[in-house]
Formats: sequence, C-alpha cells, structure tokens
Amino acid sequence: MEQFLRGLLRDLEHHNVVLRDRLAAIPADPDVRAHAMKAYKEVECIRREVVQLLHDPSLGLPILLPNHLQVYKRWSERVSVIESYPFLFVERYALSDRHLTRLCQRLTSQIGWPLPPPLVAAFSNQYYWTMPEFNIICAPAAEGTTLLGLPDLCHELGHILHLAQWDVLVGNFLRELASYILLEQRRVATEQRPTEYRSLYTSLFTQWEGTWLLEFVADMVATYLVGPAFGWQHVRLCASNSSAAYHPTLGERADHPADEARLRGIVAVLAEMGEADVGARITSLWNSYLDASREIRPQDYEVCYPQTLLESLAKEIIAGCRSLGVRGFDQPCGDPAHRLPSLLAEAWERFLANSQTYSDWERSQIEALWQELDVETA
Amino acid sequence: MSDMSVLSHEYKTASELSQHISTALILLKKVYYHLPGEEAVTPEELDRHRHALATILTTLVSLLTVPRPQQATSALSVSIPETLVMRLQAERRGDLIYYLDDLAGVAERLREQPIPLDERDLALLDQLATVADAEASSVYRRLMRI
Repeated sequence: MEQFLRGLLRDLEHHNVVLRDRLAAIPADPDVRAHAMKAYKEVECIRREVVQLLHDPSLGLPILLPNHLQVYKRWSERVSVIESYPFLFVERYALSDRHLTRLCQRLTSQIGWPLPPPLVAAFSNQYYWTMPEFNIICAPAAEGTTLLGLPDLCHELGHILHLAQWDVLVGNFLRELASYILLEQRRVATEQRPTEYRSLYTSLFTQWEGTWLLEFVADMVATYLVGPAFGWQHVRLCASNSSAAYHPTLGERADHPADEARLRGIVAVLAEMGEADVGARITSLWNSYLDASREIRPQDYEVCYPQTLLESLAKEIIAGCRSLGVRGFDQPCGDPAHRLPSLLAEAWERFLANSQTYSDWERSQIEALWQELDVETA
Repeated sequence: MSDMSVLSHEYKTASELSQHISTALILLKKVYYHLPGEEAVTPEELDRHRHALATILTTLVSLLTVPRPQQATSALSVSIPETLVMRLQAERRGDLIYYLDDLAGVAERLREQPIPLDERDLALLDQLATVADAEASSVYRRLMRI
C-alpha cells in the first residue's frame, strides 16, 4: 500500500500540472480572469503540498499510512471539485455564460454588492445552483432569454453573501430559534403530549440550523434585492416543478424548507420594507395555487415555521443587508431605465397584466439589454 | 436553488474538518514517535495545530454532551457537521460517557506544554480521524454523484 500511495501522489501531481497548464493557457478574458487565477493558485498550491509529501521521509511509514491516505483523499477530492466546477466554468466560458455574467456584473454594481461579482455559467441540469466558496453560479441554458426567472439569480447571490457575512446576516437568530424549540419541548411535558415529540423538535432544530436557514436567508436576500419579483417567481417555480408545498413538516426530513413557509418568509420581507399590499397580492395568488393543487396543510405543520420566527429573521436580514451597504429594491439609484431590479419588477407586472403581449416586450428588452452590456446576441 | 448548493456547503465543512484532524495527527505522531521528518516540524506549526485540534475536540464534546438546541452552532468556534455528531453518537452509544471523558482529557493535554499525550490518546485521535474521513468521503460522493 505504501508504494501504491506514492504512485497515487505522483499521479495527482501530474493531474495538477495538467490542470494548472490548461488554466494558464486560457486566453485573457476579463470576465474569467479572477476565477481562472484562483483555480490556478489552488491547484498549484495542492501540487506543491503533494510534492512536499513525496519528499517527506515519513511517507511510507505504516504508523502514518492511514493519515497520509486521508490527506491524499482530501487533496484528490479538492482537485476533482475544482476540475468539475470552476475549471469548467472558465475553460468552457461561452456566449450564453457571458450574457448572464455581464448581467450579474451590472446587477452587483447597481446594488452595491460588497463582494466580487460571480462568474455565471448557463449549462445547469439542476436549475440554479451556486458554489459560494468559488463565487460561481450555474443557471439553466436558456435563462438569458427570459426575465421572469432571473430573480432566482439573486437567491444564489444570497447564498454567496451568507457564506461571506454569516454573522452580519443572521446575528442572534439561532439563539431565538433555540429558545423557540426549547419552549415547544417544555410544552410537550406540560401539555402531556407524546414524549416522542421532544426528539422531533430536536430534529427540527438541526434541520433549521443545518440547511433550512441557508434557504430562508437566500430567499430573503433575493427579496430584499428585487422585491416582489422574487415572490412572483417563487410561485412560478413552485407551479412548474415543486414537490408538496407543505413538505417537510414535523418529523419529515428535507434539505429545503417547505415552499409555503418560504413564501411567507418572502412576504415578511416585503411587509417589513413597506410593500405589504403587493405581499398580499402574492399571497392571494399563492393560495389560489394551493387550492388548485389540492394541497392540504398537515397536522403540526405550523410549529415548524412559526410566523414570528420568519418575521424576526426578515428583520435581521434587512438590517444586515443595510449595514453592509447593499441597496434594497426600495433604495434605487442611477438611471431608472437601466436598473435591473426595476426591469425585473416591470417584467413581472407586465406578465401578470397581459401574458399575451408580454413575450414581445420581453424580447425587445432583452435585446436592448445585451446591447447595453456589449454582448453580441446569438 | 438545487441540492448542489447545500451539498457544496456541507462538503466544505466536512472536508476541512477531516483535513485539520489528519494534518495535526501526522505532526503529533512525528514528534511523539520521533519519526523521520520530525526535525522539519517547527514549534509554531505544532502549537497551531495542537491548539486547533484541542478546539475541535472541545467543540465535539460540547455537541455530544449538551442536548440540542441548548447548544447552538453560533456559539461554537469550529464547524462540525451535524451528521458527524450523529455518526459518533450512534457508534459510541454504548460508552458515550467514557468516550466524552477521553476526548475532553486529550483536549486538555493538547493544550499543555510539553504535550503529555500517550499512545492511547493517539489511538483515540486516529479513530476520530477515521470517522471524519468517512464523513467527508460520504458527502463528496453525494456532491459528485459517485
């Protein structure tokens, strides 16, 4: 095994050299330069660590073999992740990617984004996703031809901001969440409910803390940035590919919180920012959608997503964004004709008012947008 | 967003934890067993890693001891995946109290100078490194759909 591990390390070093050289050979392009450089540096850094280990006289000692193997695995995984994600983004950067990247650059400059603009690729087979540590976002292939889905780009920006500014955005919310769960667990005892409920609440807490909070924060940041357009898009997305709106409820597990609760989180941000009326319109459409979908609220659902917690989180997110100098949809700046949050808001209002004439208007707006952003159209 | 974004977040946490534990353990073993390469381990490097490892152990003990949600992540100094905590709780169900005591003891000794670790301590750290490795590999396979 010692010799095999040595071979694996040499192979990994060679692989890093190949990736490094291909990253170095990518033509200079201001859109991808920073991301290519970051990937290059990391690949080269791992290569040097591999070489250092190959020269380490302790390599091959049986007592260190398990630990060296673990370290090798982490390096190999990391290189594989770089090769599979940021490397592809920069080496295969294409016109459709440039559209969304430039759009995102403009958006981030308009909203006072406190971080470098992300690189956006348009080849996702899993709807929108992001890898915040690499500052990359992936979107479906045709997203550059529509305005209605673009608010979801802001949801991914929310994940990136969350990773960089966790403390500022979430503040004391986890303590408030913990207090709520403890209170509910006490009620299990005082109201003589089945004792199994205690562990269900513990599981509820870990899901909130582990992944649900990530989603609520990203939703709320997106709503802060583009306002009602994100709420309308949430209903559109749920109608097109949602699972049950009330899943997960108490005792169920899922990486994402229930769509119904996410909508209430969005509406809570709108209300806090003075747009309760449009929040009510979105809720009305949502309720109609639920009726039409024959969705039934399960027992114990409310305790998973109490309104007070969602409202409290909404206040934290808005305060956090304001303290970071990020401009909300209620703080427009610059020429209104060129403001992307305003364009997305108008797109949704026009779509809701008259979907028949909408597509012609959308096409003309998108063509004008690409011209402004100096991106040729396909 | 898709599950990819969540998995990416989980993998980063699990991978970094595993790497921290394994790297620190290699240095500790080099020094304890006077292995070739020991002379290249600087006191500063050893200090940094043993203190980081002690913090990981203390955090883990806290997560395994105090029932959630009294222990909220925001109050912790290092990120430890919930799934790793659950994995340890399951694996150590029979002797959790003794295991916690052992972890706390190793954390305490890691903060002392000179480090009074013994082979039993290193074996305990090796077990933890194996669990952290398994956790990182598991999330990685989900991320890469292997």
